[in-house]
Amino acid sequence: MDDKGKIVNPSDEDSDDEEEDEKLSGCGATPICNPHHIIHRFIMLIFMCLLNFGSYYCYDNPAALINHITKDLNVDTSSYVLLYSLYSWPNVILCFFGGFLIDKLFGIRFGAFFFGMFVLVGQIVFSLGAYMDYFWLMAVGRLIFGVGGESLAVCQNTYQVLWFKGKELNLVFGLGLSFARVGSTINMNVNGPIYSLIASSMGVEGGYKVLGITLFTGAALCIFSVGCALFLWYFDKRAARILKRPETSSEETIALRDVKDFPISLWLIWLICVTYYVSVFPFISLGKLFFMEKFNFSSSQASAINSVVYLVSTIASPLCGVLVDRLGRNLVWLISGIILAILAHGLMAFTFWNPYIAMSFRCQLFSCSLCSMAHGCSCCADQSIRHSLRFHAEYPEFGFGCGSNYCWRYC
Amino acid sequence: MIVFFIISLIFIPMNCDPIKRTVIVEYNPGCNATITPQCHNLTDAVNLVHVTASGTNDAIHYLWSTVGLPTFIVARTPLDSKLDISWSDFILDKPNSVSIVPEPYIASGLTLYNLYEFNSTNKSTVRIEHSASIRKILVEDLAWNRVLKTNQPSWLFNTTTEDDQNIHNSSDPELGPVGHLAAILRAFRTADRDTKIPHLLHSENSSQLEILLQNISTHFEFPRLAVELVIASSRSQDSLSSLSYDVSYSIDDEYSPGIFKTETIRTSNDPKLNIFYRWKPVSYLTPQRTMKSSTDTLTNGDFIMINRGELSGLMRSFQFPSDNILEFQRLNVSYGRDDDGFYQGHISWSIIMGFGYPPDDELSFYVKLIAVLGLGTPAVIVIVGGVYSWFVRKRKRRSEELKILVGSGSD
Repeated sequence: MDDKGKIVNPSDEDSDDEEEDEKLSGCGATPICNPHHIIHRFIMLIFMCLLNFGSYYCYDNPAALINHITKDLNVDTSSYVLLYSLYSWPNVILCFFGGFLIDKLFGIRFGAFFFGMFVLVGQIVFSLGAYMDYFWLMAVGRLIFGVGGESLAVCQNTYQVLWFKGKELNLVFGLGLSFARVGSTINMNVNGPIYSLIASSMGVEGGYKVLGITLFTGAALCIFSVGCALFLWYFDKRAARILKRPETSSEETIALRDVKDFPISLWLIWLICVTYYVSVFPFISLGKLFFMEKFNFSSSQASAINSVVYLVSTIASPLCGVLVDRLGRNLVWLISGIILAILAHGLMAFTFWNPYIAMSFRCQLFSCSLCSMAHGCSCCADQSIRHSLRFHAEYPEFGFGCGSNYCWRYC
Repeated sequence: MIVFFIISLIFIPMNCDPIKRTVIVEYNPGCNATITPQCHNLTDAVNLVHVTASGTNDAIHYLWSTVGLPTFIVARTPLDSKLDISWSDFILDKPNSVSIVPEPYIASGLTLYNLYEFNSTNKSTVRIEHSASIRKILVEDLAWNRVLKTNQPSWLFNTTTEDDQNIHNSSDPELGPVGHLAAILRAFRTADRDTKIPHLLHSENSSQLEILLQNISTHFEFPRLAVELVIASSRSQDSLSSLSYDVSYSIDDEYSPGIFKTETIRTSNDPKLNIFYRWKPVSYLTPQRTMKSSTDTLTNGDFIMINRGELSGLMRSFQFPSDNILEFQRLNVSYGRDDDGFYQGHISWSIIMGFGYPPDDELSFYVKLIAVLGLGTPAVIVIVGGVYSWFVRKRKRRSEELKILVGSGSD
């Protein structure tokens, strides 16, 4: 089978290529299991996207259950915000070393499994802390979760860059983002009903035990993510063998000192990324309470609107990726998105207009801006795209850590 | 020009010298212990606190009494006005036994007429009007303690309800703390805010009433409390009703986080003849008022007429201004919200009662500054950046045109 997916009769193979091409039999001969074929790579893509599903589902667990966390565990909102800032702080350091760890020490396959395990253990400890009414244990769980979370996202990106080339990458990145947002959206809308279901089945109004069990359902999804990591490990190793993928050449080795060679425009893009993320994620983490109190939404209505940004970007991100690719004009998309975001927050702060109007403005920024910035990154730093992507993914965490705390303190 | 405009937006609305009144307080003025021995009682006391807040051309009299029904009166009078009480008649509820000479321009009063406990059947009932099981708790002719002056200065009127009086007398230690009904009153000499949330704003023409319902014994499974207030007001012949109730919304929750509504009862549309009752629809479930312990205060603004004969105490004895038709109307106010855990032994609620324009919340200098900086900075950057890049582009184009001209000239 050649790269274009046409079936080639094995008996027609050139005798010179015999030692290079491995003979594939059984499932390996079919499109599904053949790493040359697009269908197999597409199936791998699904698993790559699902690798991060559990992590993104669990990341926004506190936001979906904010009113239950503050009530059942008897903590105030400033302690609650710790659950987000503790996720972010490990990544301030990891953004410098995560890439090195994945490239040099662990390799991508073990790295994905390793960080997946951190995510799983972190979520289990987090749930256990809620079940036993120890807030400090929940904070520790979020810290462990944080070590794994963003690094797992980097692993996903690395897998994507390994398996896909050139123009396919935009669509693949967009799809990865979509799956992640699907996870967040599902989390926002499903956790409330799960909590009520568990509470009614236990015959209580609520309580920290109910909260703990609700959070354990997230841990089940993290087990699924670890399963995806193992799946990818096996198939990536197999594909590397079949495709005879070369080992990383010395030219491609990324070193920390490369950072000083990044152009100023790349740093500006990351600064924009940090400040843009700081306006979105801390808002979503506290958004449910805001919608409930200012607009008198019920708990489920507030969860729904809080998830609107994620939901729309699930569909819009890949589309925007294609649009930005075709039309170019990254800066126009970016600036228009930022102005719309300012309008959106202004509407929510200074008026009582239906917040869906403002949130729909927000969606545009969220969907298009990341695509524009990623596109801009690749334009500014062609050679070190992998390293810049890592920075891009993890540098905003610094902003989150600060942002969550300042958002609560001063807002 | 723009800078001046922005600065004026921040600085000019700040207040100039606030108006100050001189406040004098008397307790049981003119009460002769030989004729009325209850004047000096510590328990089962006759309480009448008379506050005179004198301004430059008028005086505001506040009369707070627990004789009969707990009643709180606000009257605006000419500057040199005096209180005239016939104590023996007042104790016997005789009309016009308490008067101000010369007659007030305008007067109004609020009476705590009834206290109710109602069952929140199917747990989601929060208004007394929707409940089927209601129990009346008597507040008339209770044995009030002698009023206490606290260090604010405020005046604490305190009693136990009849139910709880019996519990108190039975001296069974397992019955828990004794229930109290208390009212804390303060008269103000200048415009300011309360120190406790929701930091109600008062003018120099107002007083503050805080109602406390502490450890009231409950009979229902899901108990909630409600009060029935009676408000005295007067109207001219041709107007339909003497009381208007309205709810106003504001984006400003700087001093009352999460509360965007303000409810006001006015006795007249003419501010010179208006006595207002204003509150934020929030009450608190713990003695330390916090956002977490807040719950809603619900009223539908439906006034029902009541005969003066059904009232007792100051409402019957006070001589209201005679030029208009005097009316007494009652209103239910329920305390509670869907998930607040019902009545847990404490409710406190504050109302501002005063004369004239009810003071409106304004955004503080700090918030205005942040808004101006937050919106102004990106606007300035966009304008300056846009102008600069246009200028650079124009220069570039000019130099390119010049190059072409020079190039063609040399041919």
